[in-house]
Amino acid sequence: MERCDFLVTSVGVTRNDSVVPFPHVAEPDLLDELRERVIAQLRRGSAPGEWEIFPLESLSPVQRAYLAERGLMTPAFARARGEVASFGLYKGGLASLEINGQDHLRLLAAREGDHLSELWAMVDSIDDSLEQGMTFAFDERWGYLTARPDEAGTGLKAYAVVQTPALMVAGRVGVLALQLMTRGLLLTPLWDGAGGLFQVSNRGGRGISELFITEAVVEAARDLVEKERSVRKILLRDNPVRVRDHMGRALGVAQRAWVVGWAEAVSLISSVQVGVEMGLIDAPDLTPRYAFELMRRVQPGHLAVEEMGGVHGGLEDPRIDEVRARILRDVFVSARFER
Amino acid sequence: MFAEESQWQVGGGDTPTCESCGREVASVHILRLEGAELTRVHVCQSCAEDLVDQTEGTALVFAVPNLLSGLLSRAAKAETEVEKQPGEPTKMCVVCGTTLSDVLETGMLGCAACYEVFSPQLERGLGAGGSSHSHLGKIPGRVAAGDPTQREVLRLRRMLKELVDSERYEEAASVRDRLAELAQHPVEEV
Ligand SMILES: [Zn+2]
Ligand SMILES: [Zn+2]
Repeated sequence: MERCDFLVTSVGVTRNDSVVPFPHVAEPDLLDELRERVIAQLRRGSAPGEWEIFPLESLSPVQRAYLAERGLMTPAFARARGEVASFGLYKGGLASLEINGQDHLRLLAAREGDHLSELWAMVDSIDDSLEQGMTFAFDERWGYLTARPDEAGTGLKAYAVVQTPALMVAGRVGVLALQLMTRGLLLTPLWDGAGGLFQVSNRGGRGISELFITEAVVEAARDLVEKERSVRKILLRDNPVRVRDHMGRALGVAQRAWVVGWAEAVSLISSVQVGVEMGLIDAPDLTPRYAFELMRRVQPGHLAVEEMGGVHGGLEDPRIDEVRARILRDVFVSARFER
Repeated sequence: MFAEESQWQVGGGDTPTCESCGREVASVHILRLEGAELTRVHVCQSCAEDLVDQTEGTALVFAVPNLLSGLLSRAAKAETEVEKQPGEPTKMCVVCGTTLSDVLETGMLGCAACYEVFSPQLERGLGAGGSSHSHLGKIPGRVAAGDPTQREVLRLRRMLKELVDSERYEEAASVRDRLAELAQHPVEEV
């Protein structure tokens, strides 16, 4: 079986101009001028067509949701009004740039699997190229300066997403989150805990280098995956009927339902996938990575953009739940419960 | 795809106090799901450990996002009682107009110069809340190469802080103008 420790890893890097005040207090014309400078530098520092730039206001709620669901836009930026905010997409989505959000610049990149150090390396070089055209706010003591002083330092946030439903069922995530917190790390439910998906991230970036940040996140996430494996074994050994009942119900709903909400779909996919890993369900294609791709594909913004040809009823369109149920029925049609 | 790291925003500059012991600063937000019952509390780290231990179900743990503003306002209140007379103007950054009370309210600074202006408060707040070490990690190429503009900006910003500290606002304003000028016309390499 394919070994996949992390479903997805991502990075965010925050930078500010050294003179223009931060977006929440700066005059709009200063921010506008800064935005033009940034865009000019992006064009100078890259091959033609590598960066596509959009004014934030030109992106519809569905498009913003889609980008946020792909990890290319932060939820706060997606919600922002921002007449002076712009969004840049690098090489069709390898990375992205938020201009004039909470800070002047936030570079983002996400990729399925365990790729933290490559993602940092890519964003690091984009950062170098941006720096050719501007002077970043930096202080030898505080590091890169940010609107929220607790985020100053490297400006780097590293994230790894793990699937740990057994730890959640066993009531272990709270204790683990508190332990990680004392080491400067956060363990946050990814989609309000749906499917037992959790995000490990560093809390601050001061007094620690980028290398140590990414290593600490990877190490903590690996440790969670190990614990998850052993708790799954214990659960199956101690509660075989309950575990089978849970997986069986999940598969039954996934194969038969006609209306499925987003959080429910994530839980169903996660349960069936864990059932496959435990040898209780026969659905050979359902690797952890494919299961995660499926979870992303049935997010509201993805369904609206990819399955329903755009925006018509917006994200509230009730047909989204019907399309989601149809996709689950199709995917799980030949899955079988082992007897 | 990013999770919001907290679902709990404290506003209004109130110092969040632990709901369990009533003494320490609340640094953790716990969402408890026991059966069909969902409860939320904000507590300090040590009360959080007890509470999570006792939970018969799922406990989700969030960090308080603007912990800093809580810690800062505690530090500032203690300081105010000692040094400040009522009615005395609050400290302000002349570059962006952000005042100490703005910082306490929002946990946010207005510009790079604010880091110098409010450095005593920041050090006290962050010293208690997180890492108090100085920066490790990447340094902008310009700083590493000793870029004259960058050096001058750092020098002026420190000067700005001293001027604001000693309430010499007119001189501070001219330093601010010099900083703005530098942004338009960088220092020539010599
Ligand atoms: Zn307490
Ligand atoms: Zn300022």
